[in-house]
Amino acid sequence: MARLLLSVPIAYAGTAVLLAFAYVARPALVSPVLLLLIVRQAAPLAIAVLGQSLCMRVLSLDLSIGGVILAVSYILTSGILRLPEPLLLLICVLFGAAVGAVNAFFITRIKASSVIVTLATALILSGVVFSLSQLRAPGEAPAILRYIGQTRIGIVPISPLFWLAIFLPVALFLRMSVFGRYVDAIGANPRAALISGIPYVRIVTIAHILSSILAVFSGFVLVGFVGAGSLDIGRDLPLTSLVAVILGGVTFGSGKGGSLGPAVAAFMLTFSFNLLTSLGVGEPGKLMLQGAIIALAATRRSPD
Amino acid sequence: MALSSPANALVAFRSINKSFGSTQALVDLSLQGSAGSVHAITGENGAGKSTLMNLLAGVHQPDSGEISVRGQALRLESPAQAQNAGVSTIFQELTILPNLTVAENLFLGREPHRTGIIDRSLMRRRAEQALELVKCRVDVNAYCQALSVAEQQLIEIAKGLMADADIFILDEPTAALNGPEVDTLGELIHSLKTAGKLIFYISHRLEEIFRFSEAVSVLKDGRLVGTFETHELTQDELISLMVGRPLGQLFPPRNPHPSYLGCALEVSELVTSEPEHAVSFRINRGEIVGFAGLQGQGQREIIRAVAGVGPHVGGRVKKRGPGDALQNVDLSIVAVARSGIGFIPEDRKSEGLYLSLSIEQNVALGMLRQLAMWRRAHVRKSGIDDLLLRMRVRANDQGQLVSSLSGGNQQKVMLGRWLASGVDVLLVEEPTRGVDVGAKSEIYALLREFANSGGAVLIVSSELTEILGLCDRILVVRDGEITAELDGVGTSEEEIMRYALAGSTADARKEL
Repeated sequence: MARLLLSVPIAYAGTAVLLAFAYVARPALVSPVLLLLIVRQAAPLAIAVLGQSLCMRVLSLDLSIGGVILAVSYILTSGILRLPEPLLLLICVLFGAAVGAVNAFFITRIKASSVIVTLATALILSGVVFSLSQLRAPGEAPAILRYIGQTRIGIVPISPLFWLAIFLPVALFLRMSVFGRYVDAIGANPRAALISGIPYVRIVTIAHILSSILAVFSGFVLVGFVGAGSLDIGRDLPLTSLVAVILGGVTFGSGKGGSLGPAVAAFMLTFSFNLLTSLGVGEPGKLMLQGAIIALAATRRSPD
Repeated sequence: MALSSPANALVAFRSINKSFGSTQALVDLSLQGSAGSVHAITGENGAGKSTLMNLLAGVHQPDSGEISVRGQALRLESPAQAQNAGVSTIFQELTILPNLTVAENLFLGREPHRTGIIDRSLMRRRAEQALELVKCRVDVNAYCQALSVAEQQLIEIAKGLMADADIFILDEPTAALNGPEVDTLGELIHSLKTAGKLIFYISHRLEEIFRFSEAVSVLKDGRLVGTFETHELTQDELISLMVGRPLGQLFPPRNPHPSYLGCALEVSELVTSEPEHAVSFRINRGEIVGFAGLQGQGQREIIRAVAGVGPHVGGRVKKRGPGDALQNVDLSIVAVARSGIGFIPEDRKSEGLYLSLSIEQNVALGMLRQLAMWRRAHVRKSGIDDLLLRMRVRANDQGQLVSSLSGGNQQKVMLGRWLASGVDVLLVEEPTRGVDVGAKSEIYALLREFANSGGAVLIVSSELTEILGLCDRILVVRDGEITAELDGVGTSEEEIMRYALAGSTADARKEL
């Protein structure tokens, strides 16, 4: 029973505590309208977190999310490729898959550290976008993305529905499929997984490709949300997604966990940032909170 | 006998007991060694030789009993205390640090210094003298990572001999040495002996025991079989002392005619690494074949290469596919597993099991082996329950974490994963490592049942009784080569040991 309690992600209790606190201290934050706004705001993070959690469950890490989103924003808004919108979106997805494949290649074949590899990828992508944007600055977002990012049906914004449409199939697949079982096995003991003939390289490669594609989707929502391209876009996401995955019950080095915990944690974090802002400690508080959570996660071992 | 009289004993072990977990490594063991002699300690793998010496070296402490040096009972809590008591140990595992130079390694922790600054030129001079002693011609400024294993071993020996000690423990010192190097070691041992030192010489190389030692103590299953004057024994007598125990009903009956079912696995001209020899062998359906031999003779490398886990530089493996035809198997881990060959590693905790997952998750991974990755992972709960019942796994329910099971039950879960996976060839390293006797016989029965239903099993084991009791056919491996193929029923431990050690004196020279 104690083990069961310990294995429940912190995010569930954390969200409840935060909501209760806000209900007392800042009741306006928990009104339906504002909550829906926060949910909308959380959607890009929640999408990115799904990929990050998959990487961490196979004992890898994806810090290239921010670079991918920046590149997606540039491809979509700079007008560098004069193509119809659907084609542009498709190119972004293919681009994401390619980045994921390159990350996975260095991690599985060259056996480089996932932290270093994906950080390098992020830096290279950012550098390329920055230099290109001197020639052609980012412009307006494609209409279809502005629709996803900004429209609502009744009072329900579309972006959380977009997230749900991605989350449900991916989470169900990870939970029900042989692939999901292999992910658990690699997380529990990568050496044993390798030796018993589980296709380790393929699993890790798929995890990274999926993570980068999800980063692209996250970028779609962000770009639509902002309405225009930006060189700041998605900068916080790699770190914030990491924090969300940890709060969502996936521990460093043990790879345990599911998909729902990190999603709840994405909401919890976004909510806490809003709460901090309303309490007058916006950006500094946000940074301190994230740092504290990462430090805590690094010291905390899995319950067994 | 003069050599065991307590009066002139420099070291005496009295009624020593030592266990690791549930394994009793030493049982009521008493032994004495006298100054000015070479005392060989021998026995099969796992007989307790190294454990006994680790007690004297301060690495482990006895559970009960007493060790006395020069007539004084001592409690050796650490290697440093043992060194202060005049015990110098040359360990079986190399303790050389690769990123330091030869001289730095030799003087690690006791560097000569002047007013706090290391006197490097003195250190180098003394290192050169030490290497001169063991006739090792390497530059004392060379980094140890660049040296061969034999050179490292010589440095290890030089380091141990430099110590100001009365008692020297040499644990399998010649594993990597060639003939002339062993001769040099022999001269060194002789000069230590004439200087009145006591040398404990641990080895299962009979040749060296007879060349170097005055007295030999034989250990078996943690007990002392006896201490003898070496010149009173013949080689054959010593072998019978080391082995020879009755085999009870531990083992299931064998398959009388396994070869009728046809060939399951054919390995031809397999070369595991450059200097090794090529090996060829085949395993029939319904058969359990065992690799026997001393530790580190290449058995492990062969089975790991066939499994796709270890390296191979040449050779071919064919396996029975659909329609009884033999098909080539690509020796990569994934391809080997897909072809229907299961590999069960020796180290179940780091290489075999998912300790933090449940029994169900561990076993299900085997059942799902033949499904594509994107398919639904549907596993019938009752199927796993049946398996656990059949294997007599003692667990509360299938949701229990594997880490909470006993060694024997963990071993069964690992075996069960492959039995449930539908493979028809099993490669098993040390099938019952760290498992109690009850679980042992159940594991043997499961392997036999697997063979009787048409499967083929290849095992590597360092326990001769296991090989002898379980296997239909025994391949003796020495120096990377299969030196004998013996029928499991007709052979004896003596015969296997004879091939595993040195068949003839010519072979013995070559080995040294």
